[in-house]
Amino acid sequence: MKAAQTRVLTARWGDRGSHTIAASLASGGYEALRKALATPPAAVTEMVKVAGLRGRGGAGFPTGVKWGFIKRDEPPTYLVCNADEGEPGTFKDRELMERDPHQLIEGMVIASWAIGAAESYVYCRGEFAFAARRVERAISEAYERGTLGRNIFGSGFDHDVILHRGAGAYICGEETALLESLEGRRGQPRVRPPFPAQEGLYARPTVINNVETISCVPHIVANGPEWFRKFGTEKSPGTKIFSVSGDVERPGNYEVPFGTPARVLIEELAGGITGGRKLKAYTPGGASSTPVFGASKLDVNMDWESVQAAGSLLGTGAMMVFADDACVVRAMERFMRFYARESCGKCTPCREGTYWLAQIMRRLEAGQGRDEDLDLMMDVQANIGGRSFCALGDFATAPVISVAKEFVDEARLHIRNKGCPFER
Amino acid sequence: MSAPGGPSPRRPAFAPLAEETRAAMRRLMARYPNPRSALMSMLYLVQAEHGCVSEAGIEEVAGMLDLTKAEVASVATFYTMLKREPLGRYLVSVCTQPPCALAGAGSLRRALEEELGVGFGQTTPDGAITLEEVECVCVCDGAPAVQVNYESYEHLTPEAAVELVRKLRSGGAVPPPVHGSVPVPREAIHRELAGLGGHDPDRGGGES
Amino acid sequence: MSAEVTVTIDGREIAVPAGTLVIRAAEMLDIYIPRFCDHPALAPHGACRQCMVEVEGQRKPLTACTTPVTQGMAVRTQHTSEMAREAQRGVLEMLLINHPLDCPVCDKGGECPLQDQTLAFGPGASRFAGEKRRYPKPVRISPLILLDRERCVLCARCTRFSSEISGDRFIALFERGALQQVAAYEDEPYESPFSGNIVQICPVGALTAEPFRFRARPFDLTSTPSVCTLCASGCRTIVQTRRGEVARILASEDPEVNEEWICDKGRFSFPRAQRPDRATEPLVRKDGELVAVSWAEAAALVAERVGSARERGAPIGVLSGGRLADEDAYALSRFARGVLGTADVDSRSWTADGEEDAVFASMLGSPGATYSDIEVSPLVLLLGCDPREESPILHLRLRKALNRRGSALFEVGPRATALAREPGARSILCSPGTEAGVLLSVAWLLVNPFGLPVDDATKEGLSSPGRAALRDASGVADEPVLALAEALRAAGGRAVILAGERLSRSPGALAVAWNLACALGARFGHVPRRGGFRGELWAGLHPRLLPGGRRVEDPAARAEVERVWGASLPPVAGRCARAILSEAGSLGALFLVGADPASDFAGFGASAVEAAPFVVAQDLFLTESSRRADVVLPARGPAERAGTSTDWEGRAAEFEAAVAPAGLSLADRDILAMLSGALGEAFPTRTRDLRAEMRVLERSPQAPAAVGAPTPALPEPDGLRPFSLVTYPLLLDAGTMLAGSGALLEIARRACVEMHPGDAAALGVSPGDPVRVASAMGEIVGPARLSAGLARGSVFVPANQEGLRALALVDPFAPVTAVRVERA
Ligand SMILES: Cc1cc2nc3c(=O)[nH]c(=O)nc-3n(C[C@H](O)[C@H](O)[C@H](O)COP(=O)(O)O)c2cc1C
Ligand code: SF4
Ligand code: FES
Repeated sequence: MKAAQTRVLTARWGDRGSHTIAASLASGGYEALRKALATPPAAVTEMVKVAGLRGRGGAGFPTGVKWGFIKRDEPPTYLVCNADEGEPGTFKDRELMERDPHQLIEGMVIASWAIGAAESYVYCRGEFAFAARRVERAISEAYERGTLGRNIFGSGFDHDVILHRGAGAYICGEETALLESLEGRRGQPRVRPPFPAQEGLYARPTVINNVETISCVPHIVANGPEWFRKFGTEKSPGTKIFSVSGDVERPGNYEVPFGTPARVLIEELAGGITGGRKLKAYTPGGASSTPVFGASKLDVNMDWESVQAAGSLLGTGAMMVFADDACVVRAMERFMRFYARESCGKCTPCREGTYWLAQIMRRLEAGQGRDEDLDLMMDVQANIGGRSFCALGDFATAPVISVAKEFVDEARLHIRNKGCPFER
Repeated sequence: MSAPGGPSPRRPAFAPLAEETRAAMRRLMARYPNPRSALMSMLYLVQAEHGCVSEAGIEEVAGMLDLTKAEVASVATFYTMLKREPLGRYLVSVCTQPPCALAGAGSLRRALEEELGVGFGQTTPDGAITLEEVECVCVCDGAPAVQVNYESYEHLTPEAAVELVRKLRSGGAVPPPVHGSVPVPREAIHRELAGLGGHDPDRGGGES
Repeated sequence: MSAEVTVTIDGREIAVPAGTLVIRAAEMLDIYIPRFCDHPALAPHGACRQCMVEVEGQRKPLTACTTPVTQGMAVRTQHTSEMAREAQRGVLEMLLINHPLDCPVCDKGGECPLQDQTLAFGPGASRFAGEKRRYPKPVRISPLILLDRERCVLCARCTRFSSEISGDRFIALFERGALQQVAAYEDEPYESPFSGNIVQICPVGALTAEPFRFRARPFDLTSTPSVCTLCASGCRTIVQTRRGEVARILASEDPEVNEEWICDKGRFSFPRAQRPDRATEPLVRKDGELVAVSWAEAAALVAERVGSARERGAPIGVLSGGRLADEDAYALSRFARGVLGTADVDSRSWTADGEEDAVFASMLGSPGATYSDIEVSPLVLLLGCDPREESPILHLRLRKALNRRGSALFEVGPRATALAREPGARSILCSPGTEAGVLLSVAWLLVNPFGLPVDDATKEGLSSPGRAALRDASGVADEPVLALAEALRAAGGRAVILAGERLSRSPGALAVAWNLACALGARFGHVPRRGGFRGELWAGLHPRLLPGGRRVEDPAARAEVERVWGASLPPVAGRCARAILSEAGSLGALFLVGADPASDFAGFGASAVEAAPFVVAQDLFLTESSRRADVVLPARGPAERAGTSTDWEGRAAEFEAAVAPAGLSLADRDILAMLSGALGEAFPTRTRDLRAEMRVLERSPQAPAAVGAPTPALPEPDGLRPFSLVTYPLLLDAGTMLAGSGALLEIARRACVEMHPGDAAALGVSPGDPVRVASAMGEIVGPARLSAGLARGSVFVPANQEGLRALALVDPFAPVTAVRVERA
């Protein structure tokens, strides 16, 4: 293996008992919190701004700017950690919670200090029983050691973290749907304005950040923004955890600086394609990658700007890899089914459009498609993308666009063959 | 609750919830600035006791939160982990999204269906196991992955999967997952999902 | 929000308040953007996506219904933008893939925006070749409302109405994704007195109303704007008729009054076919039987009997009952006082000796509270009124104030209303009859620690020795009284005090409430139960008030009326309804104009009607009273004649006749003119002339003035009957107007005997147990219902529910009826 990872967020992962507070404290855990609590909140926010930290939940919004929207003078305000990871192919937040929950809690307290939140919530995907258990245990350890609770480190700052489990709905990863769900309602997204920074949880100013985003915060505070900016690119500073899965020898999470070429992740870190086969396609950003990249895009640098320049989206950095004997049409049909099942039903284009597209794609994959179906699919997706209430609808166009843009020949083959020409 | 597309199937009548369960629900309600936030947790508790979100449970939860039954059912029918039919002791969830599909989820499914004699969405007649399909449980690095009461078993072969469900059914010692904890039966896991207990250091501190 | 911003829509510029939504700004320019989920009364939702428009500088189309305009924004709608057109066409196609093609049999056909938009610019044929969503049809979500799920476009207007507007959250969205659907919980029907509104705002034919379903096509109907007079809310309606019969009643819009809602009683209670008990021709009792005669014969008989009564000097009583149009009420007052020369006129079913006149006199001549005042008021004090049952649209407005505006509400009385559950609402429960004591204590606090300046009369009232005793008898603790006083002090002149007609039955309470409003400079509103009451009160159908709230003992005021009428008026106060009825045997004649004392006063009223030597009943129906009359004169019903109606605010609205009158019926005013003619007296024969006189008698508005010291009375304990009866009619009851309204009556609540859990425990009564309630007048037995929203020592029984009529218990001579309560 030529390449190595750059372990910042994953630095403790190799340690035994890395999830315990003992291991955390032994390797400098909560020192950043101590430092932050001695720094004025606005200065902490400024640090995060200068570091150029961008949200890892998929949209890449600058985190410091988001914190800066919060009016601190009218408590209560809330921080909500988005741990609802559900995008097919993504599994970084789960492992961050399982292996280093204290890093997350430390980041949450720092963020809460910055935005003046006395309470924060971890909205954890319900299916993540083990990760949630780890976080729950870490929370109680943190209370025992005084890194949570009253008067943390004698600063006078009180903070509580409450773990809240979801109940099975991908849409609850969307931040306003998440808030609805956390308030005990159907997880359907809210109208904006008002934005969560104005009226979020319980109609109070609220920041929602992804697990990985928050996990970066202690490192920025501990080492300074300049140190953070040494990694990655100008527009995508820092490191990023890529979840590599599918037809690779060593699927897993790999932390590298932004801008690392996809080839390094797939061929070197993940050990290349299994069974000596060739790469056919990969998703640069999970099921919502619009579109999936073909083998020609193996040298794209994995950062927001480069992936976008190459015509797709970095999303969550979930790289699902398909070898040359895998059927991309079938994979896309599965994604489509996922979106149809997970559409919350609120808006017409996504509810009806995914229902429609799932039927067309199923037909196509089963070899019952017609030539017109390809155009029809493109027409229908065009009526979803950019027209739906939330981004789930946009994501749901990815499978269609991927087929139509990169793999239209494979789709035609299905029609002509009246069946799938591939093994898998 | 009315099932989509028709009258709801006959469901066993459930006894009222135990007083301890109600007390636990009140504790959950007190955890939040607005008690309604505990709604999903309360429904998990109903599931722990009745095996599903029963009508009796909906009625109690509605009463405690001052909601209509329609409001509670509206939430209950939105989430896939809240079930309308009683679950078996173990819920076996097979992921069929591409990473798992590429790694053989299809043959896992066939092996399990054959072994258990039930399809997705069904429960074995002995009430031991409910089989279901899930959409990516985000353990794609462990594909093909199966969850048993939300504990993930990774890289399962059809043979290992069959072995696993046999053990689950017979009450024998179940092999631990590669990382995570040994699954606990329905009641315990739903109590934990409700946010009660579960941070038992041993279980939380299991092998990683 | 007061700042204005300028926006350009389809090239036309308009300045609107910042925060205005694009769709509303477009409406102001008469540019219609298609929509399904948007509804101006509901919070922005943005779900259907039909309203997408192009906004300059934006890559993607935006929904006009959720996007607030910003300064300089340039919007292009489907009229000028290909992007908007494309987006809207796309959504329409999506909405149609699962929509059935049943327009020819759908109730909405002809007034369906989905149909209209599809015809205008939808696809000619569907490109959808898959499997349609299907549901077995339809779901009956209440006895009145049916849901065809496959027609639903999931705009959520109905569920949002139910949670945001009416608060009856019995329907919700169930399931998710393509299976999402509107549903009620299986054994929890959609119980709401406002349910018809969801049918009206449903943009497609998914929700239909049992009384209209499959009965007519919207385009075959004739529409007449009207006003509902079933209660005093004053709702604007549209009466739609087919072949001369009412087919449907819809809510019409008036932002100042009912916004765009009406209650189910107003919507569904019109008589559908000819009712068998409808009075259609004049009847005269001959040999004990009522037989049909000509109008001339009936009028001659009345004239003869009235003439002989006058010769004998026998008194004539005139009662009305709250259903009259303003012109009819005025005509009746003029007829009674000017033609019959009697002062014994009353339109009330209660007695409030003395103090009420002063309040009414001042109230009729001064500006009072309005719906709009309520909406912006920080504090409403609600007394003697259960708006959900007695003035449903007022209930909605109060709910809106509490939920949308964050207002506060205090209510004082023996029974908590449905509003008490809303945020910011607080119920102070007191024993019936002690309201004055609680209010005096509040006033006392306002004067004493808080230094509110009050007039002498009020001061006098405050030091009334009865105050403390009444407070003690009320059972109210100190804290809520203090809280109310503080809230009133903080709100000051911005507070609104609402007094229902039942407050008059609690001695002294109306006067204290009025004086409190005067002292604070707060707006005061009187909320009667019946739609005609305010007009009848203004007309002088009150033993001590002349038209315009003039007091009968004021010679100058009397002279003003005499001048207009060309008649001289008796200078004396008349007797109230109860007094007239108790001496019915000595009357020369009793006129009942839309009054039904045999029902309203139960047994007492029935015997009075029997005892009266000559009874003339002018009514729509053969009621308990008119059946016993000697002459029945058929009057026209609400939709059958034009007129004016004044709501509780004092706001008058004119309406037209919508259907042909039943049989030979005449408008009340025309009947009265005919009778005057038969008596040889001049009387205005045209509505126009009546209105001209009414205008002349209108008083110029004056500031409300405090009235003399109230005279509270301490309820006397009754050892045999230790409970106090609380009773009033519910919205849907066994009343005459509702008879024959089919499905509507199915949603009328089953009557119970409601009691406090503490009292029930002491009596060994569990919910559902049969309970006997006995007063000096009679007894009834009904199932118990426990409610903490009732004062200790009180029982509530609805006045007039099928199978359980508390009217039979009410003691017409006592302010509070004492009852014995026991397990039956
Ligand atoms: C359908 C949908 C699903 C999403 N799922 C997640 C998720 O599972 N985790 C997450 O952090 N963000 C998710 N997001 C993004 C969130 O809405 C939000 O942008 C993010 O949590 C913000 O955090 P960040 O700024 O730290 O990225 C999702 C967005 C959409 C539209
Ligand atoms: S795009 Fe629409 S239907 Fe889809 S998840 Fe978002 S709001 Fe729900
Ligand atoms: S009217 Fe705007 S989204 Fe429905």
